[in-house]
Amino acid sequence: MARMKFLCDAERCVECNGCVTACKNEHDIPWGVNRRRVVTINDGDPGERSISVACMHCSEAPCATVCPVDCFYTTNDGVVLHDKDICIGCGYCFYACPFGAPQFPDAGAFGSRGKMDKCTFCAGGPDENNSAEESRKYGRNRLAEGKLPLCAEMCSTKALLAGDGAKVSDIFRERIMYRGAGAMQWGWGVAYDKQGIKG
Amino acid sequence: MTNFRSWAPILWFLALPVLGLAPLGPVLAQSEEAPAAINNPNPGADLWRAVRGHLDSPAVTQVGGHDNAVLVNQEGERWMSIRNQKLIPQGGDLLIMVLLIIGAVYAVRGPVTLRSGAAGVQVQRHSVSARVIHWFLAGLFIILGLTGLVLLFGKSLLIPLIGKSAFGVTASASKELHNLLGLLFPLAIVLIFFNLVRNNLYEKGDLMWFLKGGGMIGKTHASAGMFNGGEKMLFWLTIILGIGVSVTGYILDFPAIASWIVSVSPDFSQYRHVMEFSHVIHTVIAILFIALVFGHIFLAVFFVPGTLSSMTSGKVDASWAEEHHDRWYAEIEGDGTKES
Ligand code: HEM
Ligand code: HEM
Ligand code: SF4
Ligand code: SF4
Repeated sequence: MARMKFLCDAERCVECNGCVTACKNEHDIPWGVNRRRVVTINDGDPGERSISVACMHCSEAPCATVCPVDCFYTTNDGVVLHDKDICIGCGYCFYACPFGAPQFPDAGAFGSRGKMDKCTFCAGGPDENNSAEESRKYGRNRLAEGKLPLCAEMCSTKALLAGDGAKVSDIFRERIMYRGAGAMQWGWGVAYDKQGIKG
Repeated sequence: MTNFRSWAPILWFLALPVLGLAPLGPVLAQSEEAPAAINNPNPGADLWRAVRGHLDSPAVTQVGGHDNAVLVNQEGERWMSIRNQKLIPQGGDLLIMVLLIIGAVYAVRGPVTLRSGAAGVQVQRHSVSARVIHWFLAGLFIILGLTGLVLLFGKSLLIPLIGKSAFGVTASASKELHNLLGLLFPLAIVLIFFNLVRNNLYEKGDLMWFLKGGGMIGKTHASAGMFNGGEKMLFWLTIILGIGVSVTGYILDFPAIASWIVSVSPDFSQYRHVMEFSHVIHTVIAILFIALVFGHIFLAVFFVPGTLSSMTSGKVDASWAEEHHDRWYAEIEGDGTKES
């Protein structure tokens, strides 16, 4: 079985937010929730880099170990999914997640948290594949249709890669061979008077 | 520990060039002077170090929401291990130990019966308002405690018994009840404070009461006023721990408070760090508070027979008053508030 992974190539991401928009549209995500976001470091300065992040589908997912109702499970593809019928919206997964992936719609009195929503790697949830139930709660199940996550599929610079971890790293390794280690071009600072990657 | 682990990949990365250069050792050894230290800043390493959480230049994002401009949440792992490896197992151990100690004390000392037997005469002890306030506080506390413990221990204790779906419903109801009723808890604390504070100021006799272990040490009875030293301790701990759970509870209930703390405090840079911190303090105080109340209920209901009626009918037996609260009894005898 493939082990699904995301990889964002910071040398390529141009902060177009296309992935964010594609995701929102594909899954009809509620107002105020974004499963994917693009973060820009050193915005407007030399050395600016952008990275698109969502749930990374961790191997030993911290979210799952703190969830008080134990609603997470990992699919055979290594995708971390959760059951919204059981989730109580406590927010603990958000406190534990290294990447800030879990998101919460405002629901109930005093704007208390609703049920958690996060990236599903376009793999839906525990309900029957692509049933009305599943799409209402988790959005589309593209993996069941033999397709990969839409965010990566439509990324215009192919910065965002999604799929079988082995293939993703092959593609990335090839890129590095071709262009050099990018941000890791050891020696540039000395050789070119710090005119390396930082500008 | 956590720190070292998150740094380990970087250390390895730094070590690699050294390992790769090892064959050059003999060549370098032949040169006359030691090579000058190479000042070779690696912009890539700087960037990724920044990403790991020590961002000195602010990151931005188009997407709104809490902490969304932060790539890596460095405190999450620490909070996770505190909750999973300390609060849950050690909190559980503590509560079980307190129950065992209580059981042992009861088995050894038995209930403290009245030496002179019941007098058959009732004296008024707690007014209607004092009783209403006590049960308002106690009712809230019991609901908050049970619902909180469901969230804390349910995964390990209840899921194996009732399954995930049934527990999901239980936990959801617990969370809603806890979050909403918690809002009333500070009110109960304020009410009990003003209702009973004048009888709970420490006086000279209270030290003696503690020295006699509340009457457990020595033959003579420990002298006490309206409330004895132990009850006063319960009162003040209720006020202090009550304020503690209320403040941290309000932060957990209203994320806006956490956002405000981030905006004014140099110690917190992320909303979720305030939540993690409040959660740990809230849970530690809650567990100590529950342990305290275990002791209180045990004393009032089982260990000192005759006490419970003071909070139900409001009256106690005259011998109970004389033996357990002699100074108070002398007072009410003197001013004639005693009734039968
Ligand atoms: C089943 C539960 C409970 C029972 C049967 C019970 C019983 C009693 C009784 C009989 C008294 C009066 C003692 C006396 O007159 O000397 C009392 C006082 C008191 N109780 Fe409870 N109680 C219960 C739960 C609680 C809880 C949950 C709290 C909360 C924190 C609490 C806090 C207090 C306080 C602060 C006092 C006054 C002590 C003082 O002012 O010195 N009780 N309780
Ligand atoms: C009688 C005192 C209280 C006790 C014994 C208590 C106990 C607890 C416990 C054990 C937890 C669970 C922690 C976990 O699962 O990791 C918790 C969570 C929480 N408590 Fe309390 N608590 C008390 C009062 C309050 C008050 C006064 C408030 C609010 C004003 C409050 C608000 C909360 C909130 C918001 C949570 C997070 C629960 C969630 O959202 O799922 N608590 N409490
Ligand atoms: S939600 Fe966070 S912790 Fe859980 S799998 Fe996704 S990235 Fe990992
Ligand atoms: S918000 Fe839902 S998924 Fe996240 S820890 Fe709480 S119950 Fe589990």
